[in-house]
This record gives sequence, structure tokens and C-alpha cells, in this order.
Amino acid sequence: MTPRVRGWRPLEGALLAVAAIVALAAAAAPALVRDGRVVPSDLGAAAAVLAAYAALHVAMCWRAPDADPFIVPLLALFGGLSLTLVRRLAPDFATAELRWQLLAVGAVAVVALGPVETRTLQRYRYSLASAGIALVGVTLLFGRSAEGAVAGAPRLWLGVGSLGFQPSEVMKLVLIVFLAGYIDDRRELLSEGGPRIGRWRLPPVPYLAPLAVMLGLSLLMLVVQRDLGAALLLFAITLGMLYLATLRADVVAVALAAFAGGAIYLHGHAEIVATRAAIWLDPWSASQDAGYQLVQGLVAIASGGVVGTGIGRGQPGIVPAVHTDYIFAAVAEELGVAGAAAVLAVYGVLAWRGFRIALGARRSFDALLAAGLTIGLAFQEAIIIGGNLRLMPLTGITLPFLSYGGSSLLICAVCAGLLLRISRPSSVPDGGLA
Amino acid sequence: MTPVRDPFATGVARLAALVFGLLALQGGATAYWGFVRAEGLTARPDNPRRIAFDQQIRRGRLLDRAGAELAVTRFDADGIPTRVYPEPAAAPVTGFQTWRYGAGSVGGASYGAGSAEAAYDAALRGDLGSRIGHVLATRVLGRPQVGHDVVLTIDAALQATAAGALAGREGAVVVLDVADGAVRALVSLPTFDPAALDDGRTPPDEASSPLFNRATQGRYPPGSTFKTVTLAAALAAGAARLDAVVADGGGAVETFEGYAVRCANEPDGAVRFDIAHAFAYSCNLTFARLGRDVGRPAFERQARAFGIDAAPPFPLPTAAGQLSNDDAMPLPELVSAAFGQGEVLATPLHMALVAAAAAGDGRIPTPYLLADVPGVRWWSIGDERGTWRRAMSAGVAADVRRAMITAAEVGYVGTAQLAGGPRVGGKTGTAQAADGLPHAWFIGFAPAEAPRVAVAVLVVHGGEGIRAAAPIAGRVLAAALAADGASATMPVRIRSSAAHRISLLPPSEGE
Amino acid sequence: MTPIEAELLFARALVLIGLYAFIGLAGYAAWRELRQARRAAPAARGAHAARLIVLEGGASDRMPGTQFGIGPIVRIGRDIDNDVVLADPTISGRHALLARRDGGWWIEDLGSRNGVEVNRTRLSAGMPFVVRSGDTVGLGAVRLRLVCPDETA
Repeated sequence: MTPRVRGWRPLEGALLAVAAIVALAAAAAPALVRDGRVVPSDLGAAAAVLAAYAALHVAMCWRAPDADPFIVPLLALFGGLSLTLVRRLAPDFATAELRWQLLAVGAVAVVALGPVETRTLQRYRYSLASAGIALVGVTLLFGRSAEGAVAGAPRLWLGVGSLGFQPSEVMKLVLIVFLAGYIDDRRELLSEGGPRIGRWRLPPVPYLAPLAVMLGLSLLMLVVQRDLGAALLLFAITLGMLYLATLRADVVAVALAAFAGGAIYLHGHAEIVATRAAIWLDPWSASQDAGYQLVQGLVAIASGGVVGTGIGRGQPGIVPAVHTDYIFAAVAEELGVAGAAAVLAVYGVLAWRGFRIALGARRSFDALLAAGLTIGLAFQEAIIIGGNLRLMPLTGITLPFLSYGGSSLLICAVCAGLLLRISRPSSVPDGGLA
Repeated sequence: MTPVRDPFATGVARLAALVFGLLALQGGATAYWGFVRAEGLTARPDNPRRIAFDQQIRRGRLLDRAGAELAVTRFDADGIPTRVYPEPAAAPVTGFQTWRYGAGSVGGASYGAGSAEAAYDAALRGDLGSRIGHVLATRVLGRPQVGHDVVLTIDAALQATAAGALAGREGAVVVLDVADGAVRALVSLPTFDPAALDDGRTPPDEASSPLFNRATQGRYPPGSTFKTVTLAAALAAGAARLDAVVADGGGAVETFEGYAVRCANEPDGAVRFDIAHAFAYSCNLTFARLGRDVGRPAFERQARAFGIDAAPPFPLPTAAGQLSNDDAMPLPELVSAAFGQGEVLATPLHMALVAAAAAGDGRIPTPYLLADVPGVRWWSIGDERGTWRRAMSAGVAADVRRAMITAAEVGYVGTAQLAGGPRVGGKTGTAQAADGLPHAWFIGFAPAEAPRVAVAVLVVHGGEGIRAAAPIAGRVLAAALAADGASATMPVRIRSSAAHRISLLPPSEGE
Repeated sequence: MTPIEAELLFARALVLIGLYAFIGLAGYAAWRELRQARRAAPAARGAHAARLIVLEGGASDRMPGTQFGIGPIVRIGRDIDNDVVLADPTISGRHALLARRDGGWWIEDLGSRNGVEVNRTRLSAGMPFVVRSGDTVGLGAVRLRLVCPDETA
């Protein structure tokens, strides 16, 4: 198939227009509440981000007319909402949020349209993995807590001066790339069984090895850094991709059993795990101290009703860390259950497109990578929102695309950019075959 | 042909099913917390939204029966609400609404225990009875919620008169409409300044218990006012007639299982007098005998018929009285209860209801406080109204009423009779108190010929009912009837009574 | 309703309606995509999808001309858990793996007893070999043809 060089992308344009309406209306609402009128500066930040995405849309028409038409509008929609929520809930971070959002657009553009092919990632998978593990190691040694965090908070940050980032975010991307490459290398082994024990055939050893390594790494991060959310996410991604490769429920069951065993062990030996579990089971009795955030988050969600108080009229700021871990509670309070369900559905659209892109990928590495990126974003969303909703113990990770957080936003943008790149039929290399 | 499934597509489909299932679960959980559990969560005392919302509410006014403001919310320039109470004497009825002591109560607002602010909170806030357009404007547009004015049966002027008459003492005054039980005044002293609670001038735990509503919750021995109940029991049982003559005066003494009772209060020099005069002069011996003759079961039945051992239905919290500390009521206790001592306890509201039953046809009306909520037609927030219970037959009630009128004409109760004021009927009481002067009581009604208002007055440690309670009742009854326009407004002056010899009475035996 | 209230209500309605419009548009696109896929499916089966056509069935019950629609990874052998099951005694339990990679089809002998041939050329076990559309693949007594119209012929 000869790639087209130029073309209109009407669906992307229409979706982008809808996203722009949502973002601008969302930006106008708090200004109306606060001042009773809207002046251009109230919409400036949202307009800037939307303009950047519009430019990306034009660039896509020019360079990648066949790429998936949903990803850019999804990013614009999330970006606009995030901008408005963060500007209001954490005004101190408003400028930084705008900067990160614009950087994120740039990251999407570079990854999706830039010269680096996914083949390159495939080629350097081991180097990437080594660098990722080294990064985590450095963080273990030299990491620091987030600014303003209480003493003894997890040391998840690495950086110089005011610039800092969370290596665990990078680790997520590195892990997905590595696993996609690793599984693709051993695809032929799909038909092979591992060692037999009686009638039960073990999974192939090469699949067990990375699982064990990743389990170990996750537990290490969990124990040393006390970063439960990231550890859980890495484990879930590993498990999801292994299932994709093997389609074997017993692998998942064994891994889950190992995880449960580890969790039970840590429950008895790591205070943070026991605390989180206790709060999850009964937040009410600790509603003034350890369970305060969870209870106040639920109260915020309960305060929204059907259509919410309206952006700018709720008081989600009561919930600690509302602009990062608890942004979903702010959405539920100000947009109501209807708005929260819509946001969940938008994540559903993202997942649908991600899986579509994976199924349509021309190269198996790309397919595995797209599927991995999709389940990475979806699991991250499920872990934090599930924590917010008390479906599972709360672990502090960001909500993809919506939370404030530079590292998180950039990495999510890179993920989206990779999905866009994989969705371009024109980017399939001939690779010297065919 | 065997279509071969692509294992990768299978895996992706299953993972997609997992992801969409998780999203559906999250949606369900959002709806659960947002709808099913919303009410309980938002009502949590640690939800600051509730205070912010409440501070915006245009809370309705509390009005007296004529429309005078008893409580009204004013907003300062910053939109901070303050509840103002223009009639401080009404504090025991209005209660208070303050943000200061709200830490532990719902939504941060706190209400005086036993108050109209608490009892009609839903209507005052506008939670109930609002039209759908209003509710939508509040919910969707975020406009402040507007509450409803609540009109009480209280007469602010009468309330002030009663509080003024009792000023400086500890006690209670209850004024009821005989016909339907509407509460016209309800005074409990010492009380508090509801507006001062917010700035902390009146600590609620002051030694004088200003927040304690003595009128509805204070349990006191009723003293000789309880002879009304004994009389009703005796009349109903046929053990006595008003004109039956007894010879209990002249220092007669009878011993009931070792408990000697004297008349103690017989008219000057009189030896023989009829039951009506025994009631009027509060002869203990006569009523001890009546109690014995009626017998314990009938006596208890009559006391229960008056609801002494029950808490009257009322929008403010009420306390139940008691007849005895134990089930076995030996004869000495029975006869002392019969003339008003013993272990009987009743609230001023109870005794006002006894007076109302005697003033009417023997039925005790259900006391109520809410006159109207203007503008709310389709929703009834009103108090329960009607008859609480039948205490005695209309005939017995008429006899008791006549005895009470006699008491006002010839007996010690005369101090309640104002010169030129309405003719009253009533009964005084001087109840022994363990820790000081006896409690002074008066229960009665006016006008005597066709009673419209009933009253109970209690002066805690006030001394003799004749001196401490009856004059207050006289002023209050006159003021109540004056407010009706049924009685000529006369200068309020208490008739000095030279006829009584109260000072000679041993305090241990009541009047 | 004051003008500000109206504007605010409008802004709030826009946010919610916009969100649902976005989802609705996405749902419409998904429905169209599904419908197109369903329409295209029969055609694809006939003309565009990669498939293996049986040329000689050997002792298996596969008639010449039988077509297997195939996905990107195809396990071929006698065991019933293979993607393409060939019940012929000359076929090993796990005979060969045919897979798409880097835009082409590759076949690998998984250590079978009777080997794999592409266009009559015997492969070494463990060395994947490129198969092009129209090539004949021999496995024991069975001969299959790979047909993938999309790919380079």
C-alpha cells in the first residue's frame, strides 16, 4: 500500500472541535463563578494548549493522514480538562501545568512524526531496560521526596535543582518496550511447552524468567521506596503482557498467587502496606487521620449528585492531593456522576483505540508495544480510580493525562505518541523482507 | 474449512474485556458513592461543604402568633449570617442556632436542645416544603436555599410579661389555650441570650443550667396542686362529693399506719367544712382520707389518666413525671401522695395540662407550638394536634373546676385574683424540697365562667405558692386574656390577702 | 435567572454535553468501523486475507482445495492444539510454525521428523525461512500453498 502524503482528517477535526468546546467551556466556568465574567486571559492557557493540538492536527494531515484520528482529540480533551482543574485546585502549579501541557504536545509530535522508528526502540530494548533499572537504582540511592512532602515520605524523585522527575514513570515505559521486544523475540516458543510436572506443563522457562525478574524488581521498589502504586502497575503490566503472549490463565493464576503471598507477607512486615490495607477495609474509624484523604475523597464524590456542582463551584480542594492522586474526586464533585462516567467512557475510547491500533499493527513488535502501552494506561487509570473509589487499597499514582505531574504527563504523552506512530500504516518499514 | 483464530487477537480481546469491565466497575462504584451513599457521606460532620452551604441559607424567621419576629437571620457585608433574637424572653422556646458549638453536630450548625430552631429546622432551612423550582434553583444554579417563616403559637408580649413576672427567680411558666392546647407562653428561668452564644458570652455549661428547659423537662414535686388529681379520683370513684361535709379541722389528727396527718391548713377556727372548702384551704387530712378511700389502684389510674407518668407529645423534648419510686406504694406514701407530697414528680407542662383538663371538659389537649408555615400548602409540617387523652368525665371536670373557682374566691388561691381582673380558678402548692425553701406552685385558669387559658407557674425554692407563684399567675392570666381582647385591661395589682396564715404552717407538710 | 447564572449554566451544559458528544462521535465511529469490517469480511476471506490452501492432503482428511484462514501466528502439526491440525502419520505433533514478522511470512521447522520444504527446498530445523505468497510448503506428505493477496507476490 502506498502511503498517502496528505489528506484531510475530518473525524479528527470534528472530535478536536468538540474537545475544544469542552475545554473552553470548562475554563470559562470558574471565571464566571469567581468574577462573574470571562475575560480573554481566563481562556488563554486552554486556548494555547488547544492551538498546539490544532497545529498537531494540521501536521498530522500533512505527514500522517492515515494515523488514528482519535488520539489527538483525546489528548486535547484531557489536556483542557486537566489544565482547568489544576489551575483552580493548585493555582501555584498553574504555570508549570501549562508548560508541561505544551511540552506534552511537543512530545507527542516528536514521537509520532519524528524520525525515530519503533524499530529503534526494539533494537535498543536491552539497553533501555538496563538504563531503566540503573535509574531506579540511582533513585534508591539518591532519590528525594516530593517538595513539601512530610518527612519519611517515599523518595520517588530524582533531579537537580528545581527540575525533578519520577523514574518510576520512566520505568513503566521502559518495561513495556522491553517486554514487547522480549516477547517478540521468543514468539516461536509459543507452541512449546516448558518442563512438565505430571500432567501440568509449566510455561516456557523464558517466560518465567522475566516474570520473576519483574516481580523481584516490583517488590524491591515496593519495599525500599514504598512506592506501592508504581510497583503494582509494573506488576500488572508484566502480567498483562505475559498473558497476551501465552494466553495461559495458569500463568496469571500462579503470578497472582505469588503476588498475594507477597502482599500477605508485606502486610505483616511493612507498616505502609498494613496501614493502606487497614484504611481500605475501614476508612471511617480513621477518618480524621490516616483515612482522612480516602473519606474526604468519597465525600467529594458524593457531593456531586447527577450533574455536579459545576466547575468552579465545588470544594474538592478539601481533599488532600486532589490535583494529583484525587483529581477524579474533583471531576465527580464538579461534573457529577454523569461527568465522571463520561470521563471513564473517554478512557474507554482511549483503550478501544489502543487495542484497535494493536490489532492493526503491521509488525508484531508494534502490535505488542501498542497493546502494552494501552494496558499500561488502562491499568494505571484503574489502579488510581479504583483506589479513589475504595474498590482497592489506595496507592498514590497519577491519573493518566488528567493529574498534575510533569513526568507522568510527559510519559503518557510519549505513550500516546507511540500509539499514533504505530497506527500509521505508512510507517511500516519493509525491513528488507518482502 | 477451519477458521483459525489469531491468538494475539484473542489475547487483545480478552484484555480489552478486562479493561472495559474494570471501567464499568468504576462507573458503578462512582454511582454507588454518588447516589446510594451520598446522603450519609455529605451529612458527615467533617464535611466542610455542609457548613458553607448552610451559611448561605436564607433561614426562615420564627414569628409569634401576631407576626412579631422571634428569630431572624441577618447577613453582614461579607455575607456572614447572624441569627438575631429580638425577643430574648422567648429563648426557651426559640432555642438558638449557632455555628460556634457546631463541631460535633450535623453540618456545623448547632441548635439549643429543646427548641423551635431544632424542631422546625427542616422548614426553616427550606429542606422541606420548597417548590420544585426553588429546589432546582438551589441545586442547579447554586442559589442560596431559602427557608420558610415559621409562625409559633407563642404570644411574644405574654411571654415577656410572664418572664418579667418571674424575673430574678428560678422557675417556669406555661400558658395554654384551654380549647386546643396551643402554647401561648413557655418560660424557663434562668435562661440564656441566644444571640450571645456565638460570641461566647454565655457558656452553655453555666452552673445555673440556663439551657435546661424547666417548663418541659424539669421534674418537680407538685405539692398541693396535685390535690386536683386526688379530687378528680375521689369524685370519679364516688368517694366524695363537693358538698360532702367533713370534720377534719380543729386540730384533728389521723394516723395512717403510723404516719400522723393533720389538716394543717383549715380555715380559721373551722372544724366542719365541705370538700370544696377542704380543697380551697388545702386540708391535708381530708385528702389523705380521700386517697385512702379511693384506694391505690384507682388513685394511680387517675394519675395515669392525667398523663403524669408519661412524656406529653410536644415538638420540644418533654420529660415524663412519676407517681412513686417503687411499684409497692404503701399506705403512708399513698396518703401523702394524695395531698401532694410523697414521691410524685411532674413537669410544669404536666400541671398546666391538668389545669387545662379541669378548665375544659376533662380532656387533655395535645400541646402544640406551630401555628402556621405560610406559603407551604401542600406539605404539612404541623405539630400533632387534638386530644392527648381523657383525664376525667365532663361532670367530674366541672366539679373540679368549681372547686378551683371556690379556692380562688375564698381560699388561699385568692392571691392569683387580680382586682378588676378576670375571675380565675386555681390551686396553689408548696412542695417540700430537700435542699432549701419549698417550691412554689400555682395551676389555674381564667376566666372562671368560661375558661380560655390555663396556666402553671413554678418558682423553684420560691417558698409558699400563695406568695411566690399565685401572684405571677394572676398577672399572666390577666395578660393572656387582655391579649385576647376579652378582658378589660386593668392596672395590674395584686390584692393583698390578709386571710392566710401560711407563716404558721410547718414547711414539712405543705399548705 | 440572571445573565451570569445563564452563562454559567450554559458553560456547564457545554462541558457535559461536549463530553457526551465526544463519546457519541466515538461510538458512531466504532459502529461504522464494525459495520465496514463486517461488510469487508466475506470479501477479505476470499480475496485479501492470508490463507493456506491444501494441495495434497496426504493421509489426513483434508481435501485438496481446503482453505485455512490464518492469523499472524500459525502452529502446524498433528496435535489437536495446533492452529492447523493435519492428522497425517508423516506429520509430527508440533511440526512447523508459520508467522508474520517484519512484513513477511516466515516458516520454521520445529524439529519435525520428516522436515519442512519450501518450493521443494528442505529447511534446516530451527532456521526460519521466508515464505512468499504462492509458495508451496511441504510438510511430510502434505503440501500447502500460502496465498496472501495483500503481500508481495
